[in-house]
Order: sequence, then structure tokens, then C-alpha cells
Amino acid sequence: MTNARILIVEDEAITVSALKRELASLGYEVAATASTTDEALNAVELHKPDLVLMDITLAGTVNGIVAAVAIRGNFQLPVVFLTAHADDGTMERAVAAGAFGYVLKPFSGAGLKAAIETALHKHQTEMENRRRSNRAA
Amino acid sequence: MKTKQLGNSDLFITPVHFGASAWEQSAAAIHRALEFLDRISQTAATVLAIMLVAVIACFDYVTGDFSLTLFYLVPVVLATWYAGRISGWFIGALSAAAWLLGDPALSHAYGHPLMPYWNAAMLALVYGVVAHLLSMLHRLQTELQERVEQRTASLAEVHHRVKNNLQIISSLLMLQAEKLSRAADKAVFDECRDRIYSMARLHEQLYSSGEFSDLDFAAHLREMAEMLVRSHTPQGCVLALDVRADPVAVDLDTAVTLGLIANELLLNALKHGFAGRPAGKLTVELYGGNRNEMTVRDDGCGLPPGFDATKDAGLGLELVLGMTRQIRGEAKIENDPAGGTRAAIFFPSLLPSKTVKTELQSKPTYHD
Repeated sequence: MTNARILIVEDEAITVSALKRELASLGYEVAATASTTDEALNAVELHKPDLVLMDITLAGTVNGIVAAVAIRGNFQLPVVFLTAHADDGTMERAVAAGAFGYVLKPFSGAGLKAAIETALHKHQTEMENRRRSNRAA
Repeated sequence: MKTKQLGNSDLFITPVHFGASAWEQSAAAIHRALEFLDRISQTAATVLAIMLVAVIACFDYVTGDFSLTLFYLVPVVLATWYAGRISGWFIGALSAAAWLLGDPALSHAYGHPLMPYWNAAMLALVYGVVAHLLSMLHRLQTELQERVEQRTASLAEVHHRVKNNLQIISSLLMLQAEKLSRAADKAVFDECRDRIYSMARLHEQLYSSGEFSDLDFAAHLREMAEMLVRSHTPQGCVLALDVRADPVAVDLDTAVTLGLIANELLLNALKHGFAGRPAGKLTVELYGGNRNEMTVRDDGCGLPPGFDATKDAGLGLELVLGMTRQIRGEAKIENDPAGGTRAAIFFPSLLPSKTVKTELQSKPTYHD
């Protein structure tokens, strides 16, 4: 799903710049950027992106994992974590938070695209299933 | 009196083969018991020690003159290790008292009426000293464990920082490459990013395995080969990748160098081996032993006639030769008799051989 609108939540300015260019070259639109979880929650409400690409370790009243739970619960949006953490514990917490995928730092264009496309597809399927079950009920 | 002649069959009615499985069963039982003791509360451990003292005291009484004073150390150790020093002292005193209670039954003739009390006091003192020393050992062990945990957490944080910094460097290279107009110049920056990516993956492997000193290079080699083939397969070429890798444990320094060597060899094969070809096969092998061998083989166009790696090497091959010398290895780059190019790196085992559980023989995977 190219042209998907993506919200970047990352506190490293250089990484944000590289991500913006990489996403643009892959055919996505960067809806907005945020550097804290509080900014991210506001930006989701304001810009209504198709997907949130978010770091786990972030400044703000809550960390990335807690913010992902809120985004999933309140806005039904897919979240892909961008992280340097690759340990089992962090990954388990990310999955429990409802993450649709993760990209390990440093990211590659191919890895980024694969994670985003998989997350969008999973989200689309989940939404369709939910609609179908609502109609059946 | 009738006696029975004992034959071999009588003597060995139930032959016991106390082999590896018996040891393993015993070790497993001890392990389970220790796990149980770790789970119970301090009060429960003390109660268990008191019960053990009672059992030993009964045996002591029944067996008479046979000394069981050493066996009282078992509840003393148990109480000290799992319930603390005070509990250990208490069980020590209780053990001495139990010994004293059983003593009159033995009808010993003492030179002085206070002598059994003196002996019991001496026993209590010995048990108390043992409990004290053991509690100190336990405290030291706990402190050491805490320090190891702190150090592990710090190392994990360092690896996390390293990966974040590598991400920043990679991002900077990407941003700088944007200013360039020539595709060849951009490709140089992309190659640098691949090298950084390779190093970052090693840190990730160390970080996620929890082993901060050495790692299994086979897993890294496979991941890197798959990643490079995915991103660098020439357009219009269907490429089969075959990775055959034995588990080979190497330290981080060697792994970084070997990773960069593999990165160069794979990129060379992908850039030059299959140009203008509709299909090809890339084989990556890693064999362990006294002398490890890593091979990258393609069935492409092969080396130019009269090619001499020491004289005609570009930057990539120059780096390969230099880094191979760095790990005290030997590089052999030649035309493969079956066609294509074969680059073999022989390097010594720097670590004692290890058993790595992962099975890394792979079937060929295809990319286009």
C-alpha cells in the first residue's frame, strides 16, 4: 500500500531526517513527525495517519510501548516499532502492546518496507474481519 | 547350621549400572531439591532444618556409640543458606542440645559431671562458626551476583548505544549521499551503509543472545548473505543463495572483521559475478575445525585472465586481504574449476571449540 500516510515518532533528529527521505523514496507520505509520546498522541489525533512508526525509548509521560497501547486502543491504528532493542523481553512487551511489526536500527530500506507493508496488510485484514463480525451480529 | 552357598547370581541380583544416566538422574534430583529450597520461605526452611535435626537425633540415639555429629551440619547449612545466620545459629544450638539429650543413653563414663555439657557447648560453638562463615559466603555470593547483573545491564546499554550511534552514522551517510548526482558515487555511500549494517547486526546478536563475549558467526553470516542478496541482486537476474554454515564461535573483534570480509566478498560477487546474466548461484560456506574456512563462491563470469589479487585488487579486495592478515588468516581468490569465482578465507580458531545448538544447514533460497 504505497502512498500510505505515516507518522514518525523518533527523538533523534538525524534519524528522523533519514527516515523521512527513505519513506519518501519508498513511496510513502510522512504525515507528521513527533519526538515524544505526548506529541505522538496529539499528532495521531490531528493528522490521522495510516500507520505509526515509533521508537520504544522515548521521552514523555509514558514510553513507546504504553503509547502504542493507547494508539491501538483509541485510534485503531497499526504501530511498527523502530528500535535498537532486540532482546526477547522487549519484543514480547512490544507484541503484547499490539505492535504489528518492528524494524531494528540501523534500518535498511528493504526491511522498513517489508515491516510497513506487512503491518498495513495485517491491519486491513483485522479491520475487515471486525466489520464482517459486526455485520453478522 | 545350614549355610547357603552364594553364587554370582545371588551376589548380583540387581546389577546397578551407575553410568551417565544414573548420574544425570541424581543431578536432576539434586537440582529439583535446590529449586524447591529456593522457592520456600525462611520459616519453612527453618522448620525443615528442625525436622532434620529431630531425624538425625533419633538415628544418633538408635546407633549408640557411632558418632553422627558431622550429620548435624546438614540442617545447620540448610538453615543458614536459606533462612539466614540467626536461624543457622539456632539450629546449631538445637543440634548440640539434641546430641546432649542422646548422650546419657550411651552410659559414657566421664571424668567430670560437667564434661558432656562442655562437649555440647564445643559442638554448638563449631556449628555456630560454620553458620557464621557460611552466611558470609552467602552474602558475598549475593553481592557478586548483583554486580554481575549490574554489569550485564551496563553492557546491554552499551550495545544499545552503539547501535543507536551506528544508526545515526548510517543516517548521516544517507543524507550526505542525497547531495551526490552520480549513481556510482551514491553506490559508495550505500556500500558504507552496508558495512555499518553488518557491524550493527553483530552487536544485536550479542545483545539478544545475552552472551557478551563471543557469538556464533554462522547465524550472522547467513543473515548478512540473505540481506545483501535481497538488496543487491542485479536487475533481471534470478539468484539462488545456498548457505552451508557450521556453528563457529568467535569473539566480537574477530566477528566484526570476518563480517566485513564476508560483506566485501558477497558484494564483489553480486556486483561483478552476474552482470548481464539471467540466473546464477551464490554459495556461502563456513566450516569449523582447527583451521576454519569461509568460502564465497559464484558461478558467474569468473576473474579476468591473468588476475592477481595482490596486484590488481580494488579497494574491496585490498580491505579483504588486509583484514584477513589482521585475523592471522589466509585468503585465496581464484577461478573455480566448475566456473565462476571462489574466494576462500582460512582463519585460526581463536576460541575453544563450543557446542552451539543451532542447526544452520540451509536449503537454497531464490531471489529475483
